[in-house]
Amino acid sequence: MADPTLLNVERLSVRFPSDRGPVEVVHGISFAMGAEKLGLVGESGSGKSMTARALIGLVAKPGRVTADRLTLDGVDLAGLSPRQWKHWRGSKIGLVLQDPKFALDPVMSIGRQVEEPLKLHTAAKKAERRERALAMLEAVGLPDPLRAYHSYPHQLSGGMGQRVMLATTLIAEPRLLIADEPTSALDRDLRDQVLDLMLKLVDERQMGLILISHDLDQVARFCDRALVMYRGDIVDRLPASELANSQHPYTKTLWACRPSPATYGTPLPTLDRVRLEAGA
Amino acid sequence: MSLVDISDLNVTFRDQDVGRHILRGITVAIEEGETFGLLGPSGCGKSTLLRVIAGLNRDWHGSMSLLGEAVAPRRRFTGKLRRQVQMVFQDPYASLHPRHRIGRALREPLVVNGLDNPDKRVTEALAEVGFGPDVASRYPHQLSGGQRQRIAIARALLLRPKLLLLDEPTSALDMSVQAEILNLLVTLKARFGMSFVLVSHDPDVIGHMCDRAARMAEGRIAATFDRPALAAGAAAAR
Repeated sequence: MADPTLLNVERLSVRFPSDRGPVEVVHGISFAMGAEKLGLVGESGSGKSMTARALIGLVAKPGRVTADRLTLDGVDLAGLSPRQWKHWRGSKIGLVLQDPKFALDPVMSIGRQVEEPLKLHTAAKKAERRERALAMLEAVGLPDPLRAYHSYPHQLSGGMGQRVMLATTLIAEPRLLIADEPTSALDRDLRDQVLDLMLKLVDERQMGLILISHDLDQVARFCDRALVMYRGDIVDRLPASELANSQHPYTKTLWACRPSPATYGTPLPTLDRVRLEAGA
Repeated sequence: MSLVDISDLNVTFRDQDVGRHILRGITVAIEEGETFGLLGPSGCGKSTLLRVIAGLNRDWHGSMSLLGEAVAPRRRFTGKLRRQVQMVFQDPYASLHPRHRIGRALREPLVVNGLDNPDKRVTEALAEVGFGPDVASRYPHQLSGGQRQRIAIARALLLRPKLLLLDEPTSALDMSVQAEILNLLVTLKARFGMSFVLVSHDPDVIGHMCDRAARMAEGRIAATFDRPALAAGAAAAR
């Protein structure tokens, strides 16, 4: 990789206690990335969202995160106290979630939500915050930034809400953006629009992006590299453009199980879970 | 005669004393044995049309016949129609009672319709969608999304419907689980000789499943596609 390493993860594990002893949902995974676009794919429950939460210090108690090494821009994240996390989260790493209906505060105006990271992480004065928030709302393609600034989440459509969430995340200029299924709550026609925008903004700011998705085609079209997760492990690593040609049985099926007009009248390939579990 | 015959169907909702025209003069015929797709953006009326055919939305104008029987507006379905038209919803977690075990959820339609041997029928229905009988004692939250959707399909099939209405049956599921559910639907359709109306916003799902389809926009049918058109990718084009 030509890029200097932005994020370095070695043997990251996430465990939850249960009645039958601790359950490990992420099994000591390792990867490194620069200012590039990395796709993290897999089914529900494969551990991809839990990996993202561990990277941003949001694994809820009683979950426990351990890692031999977890560094962002050379800073050790594993040793951060909750107080220090508050500084890093938002200013160095941003998170975009699936559904703006749940991720935005319903009783806080859009303007205040977009400004909040500036309030928390910078010394910007009120007038400057407002100016930067309006510029950010314009950058994410809202047609009338001033109107959006004064509105509330319920007054926005899903696509607009997702743009606002992107604005709240990017305004503090983090180095790494984690997007967890950012488009699966949107209509299909809107998905590419929102992703195109996200990628443009990430490129302009030379940030790293981790795109979490169960849609392999989306990752193949928008990312540089892909990591494929299955039951808490990374089982396949490849250039995103090679997803269609993977030899790994899990990746292969995930790719081939997409329906299309060409598959009419034929059964879709499905995962042979028994064999996969025997192999893993 | 067609299995579903709808002509000049109109539905209006009252929203803060302003009438909102949801369906505007829909005319469509669905033949026995086919899978008919409805696609279009959110709010185009496709789910409302499905709910009219299901008898859940009874406030409509126009004329409709189902399974050869004329249906009047504002009337609940009774007898044969009530059994033979069944529906599977998008989110199986919202359509299964969270405090009822699976066995109870499945027994209910049998008891309501006074069918004999409910326990045996429940076990058979579970087997049809690939479950053992022990699943009957579980609660919905103990199952995954795909498993819950298989339960919802099993429940819809208990009354041996002729017409199965599917409202975005896989859009809440992973791609890999979607493939399993779509395969299951195709197999069961052939085994029990059903017809499907499938609502989806995903043209790939429509293209994979349907013999014919209609694209809806603003309460109207904007275009209809036969199989050659669907095979050529017409559903995805705009």
